[in-house]
Amino acid sequence: MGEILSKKTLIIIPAYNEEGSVARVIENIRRYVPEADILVVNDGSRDRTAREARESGAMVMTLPYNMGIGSAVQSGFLFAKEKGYHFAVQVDGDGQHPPSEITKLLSALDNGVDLAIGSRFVQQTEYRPTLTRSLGIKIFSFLVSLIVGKKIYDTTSGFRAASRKAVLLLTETYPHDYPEV
Amino acid sequence: MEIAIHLRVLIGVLCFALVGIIIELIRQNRLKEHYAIIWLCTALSIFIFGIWPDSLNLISRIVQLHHLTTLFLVSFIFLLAIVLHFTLVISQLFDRNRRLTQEVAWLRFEMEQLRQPDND
Repeated sequence: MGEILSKKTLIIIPAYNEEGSVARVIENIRRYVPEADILVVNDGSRDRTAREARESGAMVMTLPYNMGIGSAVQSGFLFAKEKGYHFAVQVDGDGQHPPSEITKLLSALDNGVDLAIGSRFVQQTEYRPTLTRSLGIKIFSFLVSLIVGKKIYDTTSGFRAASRKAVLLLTETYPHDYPEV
Repeated sequence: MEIAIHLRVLIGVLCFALVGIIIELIRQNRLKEHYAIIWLCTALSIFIFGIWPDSLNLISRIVQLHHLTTLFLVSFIFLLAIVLHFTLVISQLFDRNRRLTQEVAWLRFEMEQLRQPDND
């Protein structure tokens, strides 16, 4: 019944000095999920990020200084909470996340999941992390899987979708320093 | 344990100086009363050790250490507690600062929207 369409979705793009790529990211997202609102959280950028984002038609919320990715994303969640969005999707401003996959995350939320993470490892991709990074990803994946009692493949991915319930929780408590764990 | 009389006088003077500085800082509105309590307690404990050094001996006997080592141990634990306390305070300040900044960003966004209603 077009459930996804009837629900309000906010795409949150945390961006710090992403001029030259943020506009392309916005365009791509609009192509794949035209019904979603796009919010660029300008994390104290000193370049033309905010301007380019605004010219691309996205809403821009500017933080007065560079607060870090964690606080920037949380600001987006705060926005989603205040404006009554049902779903919030986090997409990085540098274009590393394929917008074509957003609908997959959203349909997971539509099936009653509260947090859907776009993993780099469930399917074969070209992504090859460095050895130390790979080790870190495995450790956190193992720990988080152990704690929640469910296999989480990629806990450190910054490509994720949250239901309203998750958004409300994340506006209350969200790590500042290592938000991707 | 014997402490020379001039050392005791020195400790006493130090304590009173510390209390004086704290009161003056509060008076000038540079120190919150909340933290003044810590420092007044510090002055008080130094004062107690000064006029009643046997309290230190008592602790030394309980932990079975030389009284000088005990003194270091007590000071070290005390400093650790203070540092921990400060870290807690800083963390809380950080959280509040973050929330404030986010609220400001949100308010500014809303304000811009109100100013240009035709701007989607």
